[in-house]
Amino acid sequence: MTPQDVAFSLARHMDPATKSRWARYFTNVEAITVEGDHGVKVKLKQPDVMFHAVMATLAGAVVKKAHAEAHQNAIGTPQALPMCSGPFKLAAWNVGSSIQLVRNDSHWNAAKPLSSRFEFKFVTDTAAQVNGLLTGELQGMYGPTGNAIAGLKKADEKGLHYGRGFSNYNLIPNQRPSGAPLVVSDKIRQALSLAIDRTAVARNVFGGAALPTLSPAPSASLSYGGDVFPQAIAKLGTPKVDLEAAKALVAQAGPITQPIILAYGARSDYQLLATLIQDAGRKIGVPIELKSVPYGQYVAGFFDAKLRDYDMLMMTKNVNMTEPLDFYSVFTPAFDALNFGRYQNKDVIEALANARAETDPAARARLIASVQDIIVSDKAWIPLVEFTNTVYMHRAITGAPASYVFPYYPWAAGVGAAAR
Amino acid sequence: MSRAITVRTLSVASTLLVSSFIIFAAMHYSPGSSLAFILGGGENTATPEQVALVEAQYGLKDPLFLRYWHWISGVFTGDWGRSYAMKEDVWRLLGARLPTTLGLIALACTMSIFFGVAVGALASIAGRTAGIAITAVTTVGFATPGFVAAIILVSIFAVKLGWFPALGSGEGFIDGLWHLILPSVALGLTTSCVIARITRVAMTAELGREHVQTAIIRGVPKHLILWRHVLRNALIPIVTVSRIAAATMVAGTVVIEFAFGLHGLGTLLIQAVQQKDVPVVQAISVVLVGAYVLVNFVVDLLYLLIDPRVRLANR
Repeated sequence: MTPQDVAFSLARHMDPATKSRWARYFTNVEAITVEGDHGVKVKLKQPDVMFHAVMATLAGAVVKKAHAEAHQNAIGTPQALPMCSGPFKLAAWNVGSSIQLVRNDSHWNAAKPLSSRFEFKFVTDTAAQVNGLLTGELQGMYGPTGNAIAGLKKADEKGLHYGRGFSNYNLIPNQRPSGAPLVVSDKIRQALSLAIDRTAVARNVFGGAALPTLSPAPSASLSYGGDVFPQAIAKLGTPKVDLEAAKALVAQAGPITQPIILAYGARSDYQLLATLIQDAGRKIGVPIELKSVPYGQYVAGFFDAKLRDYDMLMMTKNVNMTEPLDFYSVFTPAFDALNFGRYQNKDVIEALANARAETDPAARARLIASVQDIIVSDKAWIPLVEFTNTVYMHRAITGAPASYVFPYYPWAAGVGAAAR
Repeated sequence: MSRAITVRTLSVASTLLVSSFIIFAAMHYSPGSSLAFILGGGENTATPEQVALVEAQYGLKDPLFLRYWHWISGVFTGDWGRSYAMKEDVWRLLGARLPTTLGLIALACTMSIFFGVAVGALASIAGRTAGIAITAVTTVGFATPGFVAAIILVSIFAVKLGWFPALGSGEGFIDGLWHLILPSVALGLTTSCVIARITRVAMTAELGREHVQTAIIRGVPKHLILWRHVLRNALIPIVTVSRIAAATMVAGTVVIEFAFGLHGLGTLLIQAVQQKDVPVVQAISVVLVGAYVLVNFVVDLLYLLIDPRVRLANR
């Protein structure tokens, strides 16, 4: 690996033809140059606090220039197997069913992986996952669904471990493809937020592995700036149901002429969640109609506005860094593909632009806290729960980290057999 | 004879062609999009320019006939295309999954025909009480959907007793077979109960016929009567039911594969339909329609073997 490869890999995200999902983090980059034998210099057009953090994600992963140029569009597909310099080597890629890794004995790190073989299996059915884990055919799993957590808790609670999550689950207003104004007005959103029993959602839908929350950004990302964020969180209060206040808001909103259509991905846990929200609406006189969408097409709707012919949807939003800007940037033009309700607020956009360039943590935290105030009072999105990061390990193994580092860091090297 | 083969081949080819077009058209007009899966991100970050690039590259906005033409002309030159979502040659995807699905269907067919005929024959010659008991058991089995059977079988034989694996396809032939036993039982349960009941009815009817009665009176050994005169004549309805059952198993395998975490054609098809992964859906449908045509062909041949009247009529 050379500095040329590093510079090439970073610049690759900026090429529109790469269609990089990380491109939005590179908008402030002016130039990337190689400096000497072991250096790469990135020059920014203006200060950007997110750039530094995003280097710790896949955006900072390095691919050999020769490899990328030789394989062009085939890179990342089974036609051009990944090139690796990590603790494991790819042994087999059975497309759509499993990935097998073997230990890379020529890895630079003296601490070799504890396991000689590692296999990732793709199992989609919740019951099959639980049965596989309980019989030891699968030895570990990240991010089991609420149903799987409930099943595992009953059978082998000791195998479940929880860490801080970096994702929130949100109820999000959506503007229909016709471009008509939002059906779910701000008053209705505030009313729904007061009527939904988040504690019941966390317990029944997510197997207890979630915390009721009123904070739009995952609280783990609010990690700096002294006591600014703790105060901002305290201001949100604790989630509780207040049907009378909700009904008063609905009365202020005026008559509701058509039911709100809430879409959900067809999975039993999400169906239960949608029913709980529908029930909350019924209690305060907001008619909600449920629309079940095949799960794959529901996800496709996040990309394609034409598919989103409904008024509300639900989605997990995770952050890639301990930086709440990564969440709130959804409401700025550069990141706005997920801004399904086309929420726009001049003050929010300006404060976020200033925060992205603000290198003093306390000052940045104050700017973001001011954004939080606006987003929360407008209920641009309705936060429901914050996920805890759940990992299950069979008693035969140990060492998988419970925190949300698993998408970013070669944790598999530290997984090995448990002492008897 | 050669004319018959030509006609047969032509009819198979046109069936495949017409069905492939119907499925293609259905995919084309069904709501949804494959964009998200071509771009392959869990998060929505595609810019309008990126979307336009992909749409042009994959011809997603082309009219139906043009898209079908691209696909079918590729097929005739041996290029069945690549999965949109998995970016892999479709025959390599199908090739890796075909043994699982074929093995599952073959094992389920064999087991359900064997046990169905055995239990049905037993019920027809056993006493009244045994007959009623067998009828009761097969009624329950017949009414149990495959996915329910899957849940019960796994929780008892895999999780509680640990006799069989709970999921996956295994490695190698013996291990693979081992992994397929529980799924095959779940898949074949309904069919074996249907076959058992048909066998029982058909054999009871045959047992009452004059030539059988005559043979019994003349003192022909019982096993010969059952084998030559009863079961053989009862085979025609049994084979007819088995044909329909084998066809429904092709559909049933989707549910069973899902429940047992098997990587077969069924799970691939579900995923591909959800993702509007046209090349994969097309290839699987051609395989499934082809398999269906093949099963029918084999059963027609079996009729020739079993029933002399069919043989005479074809002469």
